[in-house]
Amino acid sequence: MSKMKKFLSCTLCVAMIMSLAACGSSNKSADTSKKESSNAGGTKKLVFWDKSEYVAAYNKMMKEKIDQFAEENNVEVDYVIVPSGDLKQKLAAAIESGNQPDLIMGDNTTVAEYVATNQLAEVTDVIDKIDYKENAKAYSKFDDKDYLVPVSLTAPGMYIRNDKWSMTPTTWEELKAEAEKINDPENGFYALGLPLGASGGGDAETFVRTVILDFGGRLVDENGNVTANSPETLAAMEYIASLYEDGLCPPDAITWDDSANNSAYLAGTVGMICNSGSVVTSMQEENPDLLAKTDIIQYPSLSADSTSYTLGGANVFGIFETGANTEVAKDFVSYYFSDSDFYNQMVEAMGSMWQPVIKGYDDTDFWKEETHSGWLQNSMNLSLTTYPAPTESKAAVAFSNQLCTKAMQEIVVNATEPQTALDNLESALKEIYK
Amino acid sequence: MSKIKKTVPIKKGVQTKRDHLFGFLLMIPIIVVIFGVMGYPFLRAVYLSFTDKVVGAKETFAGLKNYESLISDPIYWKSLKNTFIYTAGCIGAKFLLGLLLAVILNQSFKGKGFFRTVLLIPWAIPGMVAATTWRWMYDSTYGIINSLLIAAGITKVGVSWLSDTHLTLLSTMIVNIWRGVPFFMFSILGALQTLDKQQYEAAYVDGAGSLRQFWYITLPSIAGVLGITTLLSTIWTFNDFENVYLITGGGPLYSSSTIATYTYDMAFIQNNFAGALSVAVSVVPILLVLILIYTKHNKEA
Repeated sequence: MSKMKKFLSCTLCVAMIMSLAACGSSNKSADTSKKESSNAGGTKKLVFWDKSEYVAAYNKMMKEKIDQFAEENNVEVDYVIVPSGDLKQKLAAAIESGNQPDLIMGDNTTVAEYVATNQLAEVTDVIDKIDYKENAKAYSKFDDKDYLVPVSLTAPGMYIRNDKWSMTPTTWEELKAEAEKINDPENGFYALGLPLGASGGGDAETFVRTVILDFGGRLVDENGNVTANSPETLAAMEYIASLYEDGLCPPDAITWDDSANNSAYLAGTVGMICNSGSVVTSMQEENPDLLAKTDIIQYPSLSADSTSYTLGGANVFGIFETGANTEVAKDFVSYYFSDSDFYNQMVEAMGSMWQPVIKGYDDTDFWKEETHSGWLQNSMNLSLTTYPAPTESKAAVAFSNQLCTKAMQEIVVNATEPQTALDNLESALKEIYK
Repeated sequence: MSKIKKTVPIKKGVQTKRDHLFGFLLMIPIIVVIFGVMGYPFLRAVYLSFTDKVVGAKETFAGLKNYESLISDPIYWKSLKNTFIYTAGCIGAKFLLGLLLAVILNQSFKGKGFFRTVLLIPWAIPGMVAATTWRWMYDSTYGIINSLLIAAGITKVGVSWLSDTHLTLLSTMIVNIWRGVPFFMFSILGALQTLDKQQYEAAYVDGAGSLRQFWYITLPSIAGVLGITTLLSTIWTFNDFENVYLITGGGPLYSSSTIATYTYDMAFIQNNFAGALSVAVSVVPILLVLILIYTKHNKEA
């Protein structure tokens, strides 16, 4: 009996070891067979990681488009929807295990990070076939080559409550003066809802950089020289700090991520935010009354005759050179843009969140509507968030490290002297640009 | 008879060797699995912490560079200090509250079942839901905690739970304590219910009051459970990421940053993978000591 037990246990043990080995080899053979079948059978494959958008119609339309492409071109498609916040982590794991997708959609700063590590394919051949607007084309460049395929601009706008603000501020000083009048923290209402959290999102960093540019400061010039330490940058930082120190923003705003200002505006606790069209979409669905009390205005400037900058991002396709089906991915992107009417329908389905990157679709009824026209106008003046620095990995690193946001936090949270915070900012930038 | 006497010890020896070999054979699959899913990734992480690894690029050996950077990195030391404060503070509070509630629930009173169920809720709620809910409750403008404090006249202006650098770590600790007390409470309650009532009766007859009974009978009897619960919870609390990250993101200005959140920040915000791994690996010796204590404790038990 005992011998029998041992025999059975040994057999089981060996079987387990064998099955483990078999598991490993079966995976391998499955992969091999996939590649072989795609070569022998002529069926190509495309793995597309798309971002999940606020507007459900987007993913539905994209799925339909890619299915259509798959059918017409005999391609087997794997369409995966990934929440924007998870994209970086999932991609890191996929790249390290050698299972990166062929195509991704994401915001330009996130996707650009993969250019620096030679993951993305050069796409000049794809870009050349698309009739891009001039400022949209700037979002394709990295180290003077085309690596990203812009799909839409995502210009921010300034939302103000027209039942609270008695005038539309056109300069930053006017904005602050009016904010002081309507601020009512004792009743839970703050005039401004400007996030200053270093959460990894881009809202806070973009806002600080916008004000610095408006005040005449330049963090890094067009030749890649660090030029941050100037009286203009200092004045901009002092101005931004005063908005928090004077209690015009909720105290928690210094920890807010990119969604917190949306929530605060929708909750009616702040009278102004800077955001993309996503908040309009939310108000249309959840709070039409608030939408009626909202004006979308252009960013103020330093003075009536100075330039007002609008910094923002774009949604872009990134095609992985290290993926297994780079050419199929390029074919799909060209296919996507070949049907420009479909492209326009998709942009319009996004409400005001997306603005077109290709020429010829600005003059539609949709963009003439009052709710939408301001967004199109903002997109026409849109510049890269790293402007005027050359688009290279150093600029992307400086932006994603949120150096300006952290410098502002030093002033507001730690009461550091603005000049000291600026000196630290300059050092951090020089460390990246050395 | 004599033949039997001679052969038995030899057979026993052979049997023992065979048993050991057989036992080892049985363990091979699990050793392979554990090494595959835990050992290899861990060793690779240790190796990568000595390189200049970034995602998608081949690493080159960088020696102690990442660790040298850590030593001169004030945020690393701040995060390490915060991790110790967070762990010690949370474990201390969870231990005391858990013990107190367990002793109360061990008594007979009306509605005991209801209180048991209610007190289990924080443990049952998913961490993400709990953290998000507390974040709303902490909000300086519309959070319920400030509303209650103002309504009660305790403060005139809302407390900045999430932005005052002196309070942010405490805010995250409160949530960890709230979630972790039921684990202590139910573990201790389980131990209390196994105690022999006759010991207390005897002590009562000998003139021992409630406090002396608790000190000389209850505590020594449940010491094993207290030790194991504390150790396990210490390991979990030390590694807690979700709670801190979802409530404050480790900010502002790293005021509530812990080793877990700083590792994430380095890896996914600063894109410094090798640096992030060096942060994570640097605390392995601390965790190793805790695990050794746990293993030793288990053996003794």
